Amino acid sequence: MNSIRYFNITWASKYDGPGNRVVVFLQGCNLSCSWCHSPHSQVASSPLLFFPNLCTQCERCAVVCKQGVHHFANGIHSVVHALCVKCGSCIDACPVSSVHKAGALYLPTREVEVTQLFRELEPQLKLLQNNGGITFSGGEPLLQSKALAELARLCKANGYHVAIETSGVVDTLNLEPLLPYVDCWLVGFRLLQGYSNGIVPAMEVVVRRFLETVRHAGGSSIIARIPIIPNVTDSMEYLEQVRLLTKEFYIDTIELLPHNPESNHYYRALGLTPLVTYNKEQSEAAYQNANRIFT
Amino acid sequence: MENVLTERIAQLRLELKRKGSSNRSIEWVDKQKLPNIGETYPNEHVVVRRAYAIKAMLEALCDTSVTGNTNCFQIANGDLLAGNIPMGSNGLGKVFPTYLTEDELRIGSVTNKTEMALLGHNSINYEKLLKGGLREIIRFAESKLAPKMLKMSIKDAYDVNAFYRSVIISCHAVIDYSHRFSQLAKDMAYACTDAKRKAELLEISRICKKVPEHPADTFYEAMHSIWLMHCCLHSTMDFMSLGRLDQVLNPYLEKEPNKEFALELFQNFIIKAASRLNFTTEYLVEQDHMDYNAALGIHPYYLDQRAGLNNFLQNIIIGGKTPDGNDATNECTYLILDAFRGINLSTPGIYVRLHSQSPRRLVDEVARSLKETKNLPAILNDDVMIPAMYNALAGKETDKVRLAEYQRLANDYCVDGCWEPILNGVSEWTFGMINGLTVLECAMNRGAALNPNSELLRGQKLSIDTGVPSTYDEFKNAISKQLQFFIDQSAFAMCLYYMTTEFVVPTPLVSALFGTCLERGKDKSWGGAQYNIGGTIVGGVPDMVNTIAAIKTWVYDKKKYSITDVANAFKYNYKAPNKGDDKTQKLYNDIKVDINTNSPQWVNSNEVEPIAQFLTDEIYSAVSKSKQLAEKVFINKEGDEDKSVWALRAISGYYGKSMQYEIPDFELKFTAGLGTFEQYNWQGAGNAASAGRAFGAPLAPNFTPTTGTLHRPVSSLLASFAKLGLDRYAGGVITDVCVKEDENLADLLKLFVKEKGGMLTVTIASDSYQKIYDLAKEATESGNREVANELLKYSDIVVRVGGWNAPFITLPLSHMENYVSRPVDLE
Repeated sequence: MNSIRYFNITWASKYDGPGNRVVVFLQGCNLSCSWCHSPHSQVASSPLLFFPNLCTQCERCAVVCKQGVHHFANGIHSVVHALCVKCGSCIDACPVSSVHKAGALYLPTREVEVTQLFRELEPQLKLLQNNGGITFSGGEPLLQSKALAELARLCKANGYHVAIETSGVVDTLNLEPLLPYVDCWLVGFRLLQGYSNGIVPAMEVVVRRFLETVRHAGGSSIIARIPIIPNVTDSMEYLEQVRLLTKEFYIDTIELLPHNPESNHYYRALGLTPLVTYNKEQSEAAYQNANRIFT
Repeated sequence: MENVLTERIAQLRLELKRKGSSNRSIEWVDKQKLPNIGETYPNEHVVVRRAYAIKAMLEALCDTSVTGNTNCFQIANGDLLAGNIPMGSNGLGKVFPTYLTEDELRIGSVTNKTEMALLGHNSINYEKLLKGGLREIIRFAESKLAPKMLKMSIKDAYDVNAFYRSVIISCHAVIDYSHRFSQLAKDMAYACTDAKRKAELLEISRICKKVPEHPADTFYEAMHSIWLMHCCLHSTMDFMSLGRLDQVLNPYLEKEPNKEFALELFQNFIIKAASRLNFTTEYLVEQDHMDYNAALGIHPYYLDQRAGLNNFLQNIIIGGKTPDGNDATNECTYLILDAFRGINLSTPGIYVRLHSQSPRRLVDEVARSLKETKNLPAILNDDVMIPAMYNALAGKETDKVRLAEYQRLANDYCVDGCWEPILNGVSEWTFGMINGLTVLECAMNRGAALNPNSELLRGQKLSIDTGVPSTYDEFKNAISKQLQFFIDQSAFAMCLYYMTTEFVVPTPLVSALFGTCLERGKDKSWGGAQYNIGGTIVGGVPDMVNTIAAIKTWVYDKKKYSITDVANAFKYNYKAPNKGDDKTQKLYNDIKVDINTNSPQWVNSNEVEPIAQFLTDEIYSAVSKSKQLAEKVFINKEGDEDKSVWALRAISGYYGKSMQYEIPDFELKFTAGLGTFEQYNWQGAGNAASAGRAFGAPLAPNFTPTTGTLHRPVSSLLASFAKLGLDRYAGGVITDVCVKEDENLADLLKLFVKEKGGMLTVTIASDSYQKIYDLAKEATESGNREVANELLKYSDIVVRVGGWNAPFITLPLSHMENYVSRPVDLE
């Protein structure tokens, strides 16, 4: 029996594939894009998230934590993430944190058997069956391709529309098990990562091979989902290269994703400084510019 | 059809809003001005006295020297329907002439029975009224009157002659009432200078002269006949529901060429039935006409009067199946739905029956209405309710002809004035309620409630001692035994209730058009209805599920706490009773966190499903067992010959004959239901803490997860129903959900039907609730008139309150609080 790791489920999203969809965000990613708004999704299991606005300052977490992660001074609760071993005892002790949903303290990664997850998803899939379906996003969902294939197979066999959102920077070995079950690919066209300012040729090779494999297998559609991040993915050269790729593979549906104004959210919860800060003017300008390129 | 009201309807609605927003205390009929029938006719049979009281009331309503400012004897400008219901409601009480004698009133103090004790949880046979008219009923009753028996007799308690006389008197009273309005309309027409209105008044006059005395021939006559009858019932203490009006009215609608007029007329009907609404809560004390026994049962039962202030026990149900089992949706179904969508008032209640074969158009129209009104209609699932009704009726019956009849009756079910499913115009319905959390407290605490008052030692002793459960199986066993105790108590009290109403609140006007009462010569309260159904409705079941799941986890699986520790933590609301007792305080802190945030919860965790199944099975089984004993002791005639049964009757406080002694084929069909009505606030007020709930907080409303604990989408909640066998619960299982505006409602409704949910109410989330709550709180705390007036702007926002709908601004603050904290977000 395969188990699968995820860190969030959105039960009804109109932004992640055709129609109204359940979105399962799978844990783990092979990239570390500087604009990523789910930094906690990149590792195999999310670090402890801390949302100070929900904390009631009862200090019970500090009492139970054996690692000395939680400190209270002058009415401020500070968390030393480096010491955390993700044992969850602080969450157990906290009156405003729960295993059921995000509270002041949260370890979002869940590992469950595929059939159990399917059982949990199915009522909502039935509800959305006529005007949507399910999207597996991430992290990079194809990193768990074996378990994911089993889950996608169950969804497909029960008549639900299956989409997968991927960077495309994935080995075809991870892709192949999914090919029979996917109706729609949402491909991110990541041709660079980190702070790199130019296209990484090796990444382009992988993406091209990915697209070739999907097109060769047939039976599914592709939607390009291209993040437009000022000073990172908004150069003419970069976008032109992406545009050529989309043309090469006959991809007509192109969605440009502006920089997420809330992208800081999880960095704060992890005690990290965002790698790219959001700038409204720049973001809008970059988006309009990219729009011109693609239309 | 567009959601645009005609000028006439808009004006009538506006006028209702104006009246409802002002002080309505002057509109109440003054009881002092009504005759005392008990004193005038002390030697008449009580059923006849009741009929005289009906006559006196209907006469008084048309006598302006009695009614003064009540607006009862008038035809409002533009109104197409004559007849007006006087002020009165489930929460504010009613006004009616006294017809009991002084002795009856004094002795009734033991069982809490007076005229007010009547329960309007039924609907009458309007089809019969429209086809035959009251004249036909009178003719029938007269044919049954033996001339030599015309002299009244009180020797025979169930005096058939007295019954028929009472039917004749009350039917005549309705006819006379209608004729008085016919004359009024004619008088007004004479003085009217507007030719169009003049013609309308003359038509009203003609119709009131004809119906409900004679059969109706047109849609207008049919609507008028039903309205006048409904008006007379509600004017004379019988708050009856309206039943399947689309089925009753469709033959008349088909013949009506002017469909716009038909829609306008129905909207007029809704506004008339809603005429008693109070939109402001400023003048309620002056309008409180409740007495000590207005509710059901043999014990005084305190209603949440504020929450019931705008409840009148009048519902309309449409759609569903025909008695033959075919889809019953017709042109009138859509007309009624359209009418409600356009008017959007909180009363009458509108319910739609859906089943897996319901036309797509109906599902879409229901979804549209929900979206536009944010609340109407409520949904009943035929695929669950029909089998449930059938099973309750069939029991162990094997006769095929009878079973076929039961199937027809079940297919034709409707809904009473709250939400309980009933048979259409043929079944008497009564019920008892129990609070599941009290049952659970007793299972944890050896038959005592978890009350922190130290003078009560362990707490109030309410039931049997089931010991301190040391294993989970023992705990479950204790719960089963406690359930049986409370359900027995409720079921047997229901039988006693049946046996004490007959000489207090006979209902000749209802009985004229109710089941087989007329044919049998027996009033409804004498068991005259063909079918009698009784139910035990259990509240707080979702709270029970989560609390049992938490106790299982921490007491029995992980063995972190003892059951007594948890019971005490609940009892003291997690606050150590002795100041400075840090050890106990820490223990309670830990228990609170584990129970509330670290335990599996219904719907969120699949592992809790077996607990929900355990409870639904046990409740059903306990009701079945209560039924067996109740039949043996109170119902079956064999008991009349059995000394041991007489002893059992004596123990219950009853010393009479069996119910079958008078009516040989009398049966009381027992069933169960799950819900709270509007009582979740008041019931919870007496309970210790439980999972996700503080001491005294409301119970979970109806059969809906404890407020604030649902973290999965509504679809997951619906999916959990399929495994609970809700089609055993003929008393109904109702779930109230709140969804986002962009929810795909048509698909949600279809999923609900498919997943075998029982009944569903939907509220569309809106940030107005929070806004109104803040304003209402300010108005209550500051008494600021301006804020109170500001609130009135929101009087069109209608919400579900467990048992019915109400204007949100009129709810008590505690209800509002519960509403604003209901889960909306699906993430």
